[in-house]
Amino acid sequence: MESGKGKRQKRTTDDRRQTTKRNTKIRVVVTLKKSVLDPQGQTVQHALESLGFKGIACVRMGKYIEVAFNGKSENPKQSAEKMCKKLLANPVIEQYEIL
Amino acid sequence: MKFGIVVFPGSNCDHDCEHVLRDVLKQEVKMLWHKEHSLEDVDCVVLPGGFSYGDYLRTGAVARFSPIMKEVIQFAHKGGLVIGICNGFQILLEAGLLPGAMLRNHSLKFICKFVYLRVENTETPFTNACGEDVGARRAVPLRIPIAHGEGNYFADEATLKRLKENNQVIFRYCDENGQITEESNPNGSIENIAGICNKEGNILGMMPHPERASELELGSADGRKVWGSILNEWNDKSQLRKLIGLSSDGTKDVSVRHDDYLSKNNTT
Repeated sequence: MESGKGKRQKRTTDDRRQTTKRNTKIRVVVTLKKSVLDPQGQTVQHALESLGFKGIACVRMGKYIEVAFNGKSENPKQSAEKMCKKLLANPVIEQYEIL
Repeated sequence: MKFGIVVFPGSNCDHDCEHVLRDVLKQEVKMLWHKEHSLEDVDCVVLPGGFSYGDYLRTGAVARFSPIMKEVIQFAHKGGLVIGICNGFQILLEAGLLPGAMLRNHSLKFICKFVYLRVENTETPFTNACGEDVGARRAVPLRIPIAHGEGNYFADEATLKRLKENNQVIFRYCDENGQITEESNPNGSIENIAGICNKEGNILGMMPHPERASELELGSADGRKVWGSILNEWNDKSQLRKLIGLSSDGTKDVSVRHDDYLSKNNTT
């Protein structure tokens, strides 16, 4: 049991090392613009307040998107920017941030 | 008249539209799979309701890049008639053929119910039969159902101003007397907007489902006024072609039957 556990852990560390070496992962957060009402965020805020959490000024909900590149993309960050503009965010109502 | 109904993976009102257009209105219908690259020779494109691509990312966001959408955009830019219903409206917004965007319903709930619509502009290819009814002094609100979770229409101030200046707001949610009230707004849409068209008037997007209200057996036939308007428009445009004998008599017959139907309906 002990040794099996150790092996599994080792493999995970190797995988992770490989990922950082060859692949890039871009993380994108898309949220509604400040000027757009966010009923989901409001509902969550009310729920938190009813649970007794105090001092909440605002809750906004958004989407978190991970894009993993396989090493063939020359400039992942630049293509992520294009992806956001073209598909991942709708500029009419949303803003995005590439983390 | 030949209608082309685009079928996306996840469309679920495509066959309702087909039934109304083919069986009720006796028009020619061609189902167009979203991977096709041609609209063939259709006279009007219908983007039906449903949940294209599971509504993933945003409603209509993925469908907007389907191969056939390139053809639809080209067809629309050339002045072809395009009607987007519910998810079809959302796709038109994502494709940039109509301005604005859809947000989650204000209540966060999926709403499926009959609503009343005030027709704000009866001079479009989609509403020319929605004006004064036979036997009525003013345009009567249409009673048509909605069924959506994201129909909360949003446009920034500048866009909204432009829409109003150009009479592009076509339908507004109202009460049964035609009054625009907060209570009659089912989803929080800005200024009760339920449907808009482009500046040129050949592209319409509407959240309510006219195909679900085109037979009295289903509770309302008001949706036929929308389809009837499209037929009127097409018939008017083909007057010249009729004169030189290019059009079949079938279309004319249907138009007469449609008028008959409406007058019978409204005098009761």
